[in-house]
Amino acid sequence: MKHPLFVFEITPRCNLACVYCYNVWKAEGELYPRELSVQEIEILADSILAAHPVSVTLTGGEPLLRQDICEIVSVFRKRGILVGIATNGMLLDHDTARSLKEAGIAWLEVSVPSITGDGYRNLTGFDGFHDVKRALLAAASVGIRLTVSHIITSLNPGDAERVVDLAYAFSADAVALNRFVPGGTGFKNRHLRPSIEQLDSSLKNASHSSLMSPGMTVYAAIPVENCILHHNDYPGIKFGSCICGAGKWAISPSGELRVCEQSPYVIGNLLDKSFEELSRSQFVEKFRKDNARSDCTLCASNRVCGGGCRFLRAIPIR
Amino acid sequence: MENNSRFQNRLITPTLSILFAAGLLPLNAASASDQNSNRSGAVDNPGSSVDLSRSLLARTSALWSNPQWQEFKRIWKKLNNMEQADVNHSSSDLDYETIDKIRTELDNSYVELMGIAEEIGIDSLDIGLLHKLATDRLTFLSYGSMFSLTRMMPPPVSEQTDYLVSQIEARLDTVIRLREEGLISSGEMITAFSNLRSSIDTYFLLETVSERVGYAGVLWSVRWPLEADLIPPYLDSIKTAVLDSLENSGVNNEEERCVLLEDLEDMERSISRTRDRLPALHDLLLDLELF
Repeated sequence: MKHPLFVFEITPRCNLACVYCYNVWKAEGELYPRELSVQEIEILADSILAAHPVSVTLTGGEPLLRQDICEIVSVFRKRGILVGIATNGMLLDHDTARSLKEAGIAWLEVSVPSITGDGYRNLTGFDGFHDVKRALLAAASVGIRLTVSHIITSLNPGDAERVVDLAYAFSADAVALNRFVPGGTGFKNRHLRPSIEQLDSSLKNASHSSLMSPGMTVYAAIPVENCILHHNDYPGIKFGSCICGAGKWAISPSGELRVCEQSPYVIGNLLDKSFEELSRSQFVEKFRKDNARSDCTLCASNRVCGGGCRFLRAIPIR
Repeated sequence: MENNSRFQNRLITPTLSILFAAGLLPLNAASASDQNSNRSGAVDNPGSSVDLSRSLLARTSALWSNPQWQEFKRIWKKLNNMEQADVNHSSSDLDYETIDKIRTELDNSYVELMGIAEEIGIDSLDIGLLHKLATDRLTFLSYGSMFSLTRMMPPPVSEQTDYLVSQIEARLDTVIRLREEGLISSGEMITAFSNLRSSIDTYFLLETVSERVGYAGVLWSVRWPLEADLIPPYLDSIKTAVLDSLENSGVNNEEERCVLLEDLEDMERSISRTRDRLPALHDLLLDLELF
């Protein structure tokens, strides 16, 4: 068993209304999960520690909506677990960034879905572009390692290269290029999926910007099938394969383990059962084996893309 | 004299508004550099001289009408306006004559500034480090990243400073370009410049190391951490390891031990002195970029 990375959704609450949001509780008919108290997170952290994790990323919803965020960070830090936070940045000013650094977070990931005020509003429902720039500057000014994440959709295919430029100008260490994957709210907005041509031009332009940005890593955070878009065409971008349900796991606000943030299926609750037991369930085995296309297992590129993202298969490629 | 103060006053008003807007110059008496050094990402300022507690304006306004500093700034801005062909380029669009001309200008400017350092209140170390950074920028812009294909292999720290210069250069270019394109405001630009200090601090500290390592010696092969805060403790751990190793070797060579210890302590003192100067260097760099 690999040392796992955990993505812990500490709250279902959010202060934005992103049209591409993948949070599973935002899907039609789903109920918002309850969030754990700090005392319960202590128990959860023990369970996570027993899995010998690489790190835990606190996300949501919007994790900074929790007033006790620094206390939650400390719960993991005092067990020696590396902690990062993925946030939309709306509540991240200089003082908050400094408090988070003092609490011991190792990195911040701030999402920048668009490079214009209008684009930001269209995608998130709020005028937040200036606030997100303030958040990036605040993170860098206190010396926290900063990753800027960006989601490529059909509405913003030209933004990726400018996001890379902005991240570089603002001293970011990395850019994570996501692409729209339908889930949660996004399932109703499947038109947001970029076409192959849009994805290709976004990645090509982002790759060019990346090559002009020494010292900053730009990577594709959602696996891209090498047979569809050849990785060698984007030399400035690092690609990887799907590690969901193997190296990376999602934990819902109430402590339930899932194979991926996109997956609504609950394997079990880490407050009740150990990670070792849950991660060996039949569902996990089936997810890893059956969700890869059969021809992918015979492909030479399987090693570099792992067959791509399983959740993107729900919709045929345009 | 009167003319100079009028000139300074004209400059101070717009400058103040930019600095207030950027939050770099608080309304109380605390200095911008004090604020910067208090941020946990910045290198702590272990020294506390009266000079370092002066505000950015107090520290740099005396330079605004100084012809030698303005000349250095002119060359610095010229470097800003030079374009990178590619971060990995091995040739330049610039001809040798142009490169040599700028290099000579830089060297002359360095000599001129050193001659009046005391008069204008800049430490000679600051001038030396800024001149080295400007020269390294010119080299990078002229020839790209250098490769160590020589018989006299430079220490890894020299590759590390080259690498940092390429980053600083590219980040400066990107900030300036995005400001010109309107993607970032002037306040955001100032903060972005200010945030570059972690790379620049690391450059200055490693440059201090590089100058003393040379092409031989116990520190020749050392690859240093690329974070300013980690450099002093790293040197400390090297010192412990080297002295322990000498002691455990069973060879009782007191003379060798003394020489080694002296070298390592000299390096410690140099790093510490550069760390003391970092707040002043931040202010000088902001002045070079913004005004």
